[in-house]
Amino acid sequence: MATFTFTLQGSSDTVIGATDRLQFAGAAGFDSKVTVAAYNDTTHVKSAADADDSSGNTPRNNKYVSETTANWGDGVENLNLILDAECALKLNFSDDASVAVSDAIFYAYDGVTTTAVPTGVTFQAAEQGDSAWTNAEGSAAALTLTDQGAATSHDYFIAVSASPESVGLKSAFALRVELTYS
Amino acid sequence: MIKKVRWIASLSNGQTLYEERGNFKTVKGELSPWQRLLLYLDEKGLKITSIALTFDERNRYNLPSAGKTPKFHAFSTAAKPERFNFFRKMGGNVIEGKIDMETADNFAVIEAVYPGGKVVQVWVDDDNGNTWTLMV
Repeated sequence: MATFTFTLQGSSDTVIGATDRLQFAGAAGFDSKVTVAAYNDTTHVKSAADADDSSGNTPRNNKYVSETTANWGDGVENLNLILDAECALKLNFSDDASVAVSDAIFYAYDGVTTTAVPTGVTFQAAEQGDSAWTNAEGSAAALTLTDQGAATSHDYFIAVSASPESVGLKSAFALRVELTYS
Repeated sequence: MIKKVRWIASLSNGQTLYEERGNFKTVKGELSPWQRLLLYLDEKGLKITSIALTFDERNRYNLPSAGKTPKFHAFSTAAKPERFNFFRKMGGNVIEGKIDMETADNFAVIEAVYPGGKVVQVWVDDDNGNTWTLMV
């Protein structure tokens, strides 16, 4: 059986459950607001019951600073210096058989049409080792992930950062991953 | 869980091989049936002459063949693919959290590659057998 598992990394990892939400928040932590045109200062996993599932796990945060720099807790650094464990998101794809994975893409969209950009949000993503952020909005602008050879388990480490373009809750904002395996 | 949509490949030596039969069953931790087919082709110096997908071993979805075809003029004069490929596509929304076979989009895809690079793909949904054809 092929499965995706999404994890918010931290001192302990928080698996993002089927009914959970990944929350980009402000400097005050869980449920705090991000100022318009600023980027997230904290990242959390929010349960369906609105609880902070990642509380106590010191979740990682990746903050977009410029096209080639970010702050992941040590001040502003070149993006290509981020380590696997410092990326907020770990995406695991696994299958019973040993499969090769290629053409994996990751992007934000409006939750309905994959080519449509999210509404009211600027979204940035980078795979560990990338030297520049990708403004990964809509499938045509997706972040491309590195091909991986045959294995039963494949990990992708992804830095993510989001910024509201206006005041208010952003509901037309979903993240999607697609990949090819054989 | 065994996939519902599986490949059937006919080879240049006349063999027809089936995913999840004989040497091409899924074995946990070992190369996938398709990867083992590629190794077999390489070892024996063989090529795929036609490929199809089946859903629940009931319906069969064929691509244009480089080998045997139905006995109609349209088939005999149609362009012949120069090679074939198979892969699976999986997609899902991260914001929905963990994605399993119940909620992800899972398709099996076969493709025929024509001289000049045109590609015809057949996509079959592993959940319900719904099928799409794409030219890419």
